[in-house]
Amino acid sequence: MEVLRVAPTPALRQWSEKNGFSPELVARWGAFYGDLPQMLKAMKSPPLTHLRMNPLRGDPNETRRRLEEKGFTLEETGVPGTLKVLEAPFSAGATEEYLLGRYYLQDVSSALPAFALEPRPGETIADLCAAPGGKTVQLAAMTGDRAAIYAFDSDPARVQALESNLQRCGLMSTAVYERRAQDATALGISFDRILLDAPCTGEGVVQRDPGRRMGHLGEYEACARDQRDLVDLAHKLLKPGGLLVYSTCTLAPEENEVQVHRAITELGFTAEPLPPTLRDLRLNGAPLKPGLTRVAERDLHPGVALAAHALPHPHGSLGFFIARLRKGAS
Amino acid sequence: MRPAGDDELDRLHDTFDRFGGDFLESWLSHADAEIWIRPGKVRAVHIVRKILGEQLRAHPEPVPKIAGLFLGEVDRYRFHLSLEGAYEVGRRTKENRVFVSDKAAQLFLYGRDVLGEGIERWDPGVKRGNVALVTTLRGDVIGLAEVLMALPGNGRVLEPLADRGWYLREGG
Repeated sequence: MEVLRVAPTPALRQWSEKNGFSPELVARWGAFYGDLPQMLKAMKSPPLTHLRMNPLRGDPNETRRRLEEKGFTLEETGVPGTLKVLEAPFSAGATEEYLLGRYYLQDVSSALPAFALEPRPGETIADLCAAPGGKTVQLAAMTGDRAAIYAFDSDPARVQALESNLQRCGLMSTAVYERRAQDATALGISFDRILLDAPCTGEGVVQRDPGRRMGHLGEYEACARDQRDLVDLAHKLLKPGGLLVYSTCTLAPEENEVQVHRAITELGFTAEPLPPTLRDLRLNGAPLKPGLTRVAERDLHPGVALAAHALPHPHGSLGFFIARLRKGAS
Repeated sequence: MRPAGDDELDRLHDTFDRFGGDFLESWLSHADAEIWIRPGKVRAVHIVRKILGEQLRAHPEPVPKIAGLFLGEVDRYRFHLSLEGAYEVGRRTKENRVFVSDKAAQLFLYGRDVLGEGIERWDPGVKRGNVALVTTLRGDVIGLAEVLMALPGNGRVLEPLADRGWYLREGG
């Protein structure tokens, strides 16, 4: 699918240039998601800090109590195990509790893909683009550190961070491969579940990385190609009947809904509803938004509507897209 | 990576014994885990859940960069604890711990020495020349240090060998 181009109005162009955003990106967000003024306001705000408890290294209630004694003010987010930091006397990444691995700093929306995957003890699970390891730690914690988790990433600096985070959080069930995800086929393993948090254009993390405000549409085709290849790979690596969760931190339908549409219509995946934890979730009081089934006057497979978005507005989080896909049984 | 041999396991047993008791077997049994070695210039010791160990045996290639939790390194003579090795030993022992004040713990996590005034209490048997588990008042081991003098001591008492502040300074 070609990258969709939406012509910005003169007013939008003027606003974008004044605020350091690409007018073409802003026009696309307005076309796909609406409520553009609120979305842009959210994207210009500093990101919130969230932390995700690691029960493998200590009782979460005890960890919370310790942080609150130190002067942190924490609030539930509705996502189990994830708290919002309302007030911090110093960096949440510099506490003794963080260094002991009792929690991980992770945006609330980043925690959603692992919930969608529903990993279980005793399973063999792959995290194909794992660095720096927040979701890997979460997968291990959700399985009581009793699954076999294979984590792949090819960037040496990011793998160093991945290793460090897995060690800090005390994991015994993970194996790290400093390799491309494509090398996973050499293992000869058929995985029960795969988490593919695919490299993307990162529009959803503009708050954290303002450089992405000026994303160029030329990058989108390359990202979409790579994502397509990774979904193909995941299909090969999964057991019959295995489960893939495909996620990104972008808002671009070419990288999200279009990939899911292709996975269903060309690879034979079946889209599944997200688990009740996510279906019933209210982030900042709002439910997750369903995947778009009509993009640029083209209808996508109805299964795409089972996917979901977390958005800077109305959810007060970084932008994330999550889809749950079941490989055919035969 | 490969499963640990008898000589490597003997070194682990010896070290754990020095730190207060041979709890290695009970730990492995309770954790449903086994010890694996990553060969190299120095042999790295990892504790790996059996479910992962079975997969590593069945699918040995390509070799992972790391698997399981890094407990330390074994050389010809001894096993030397890592930060995580120290943390896990600290959860299971009542020996070789030196408990430090919150302020001393903060400084230690910056890689600083612990002074005598920062020592709150210590396990019997901790002596000059020992490697001690530096422990917070809440019982968490935050690193390893060499004991420079009889406790409580004055001035520089504990010299850091490894501290969990490393995760911020260099962890990546």
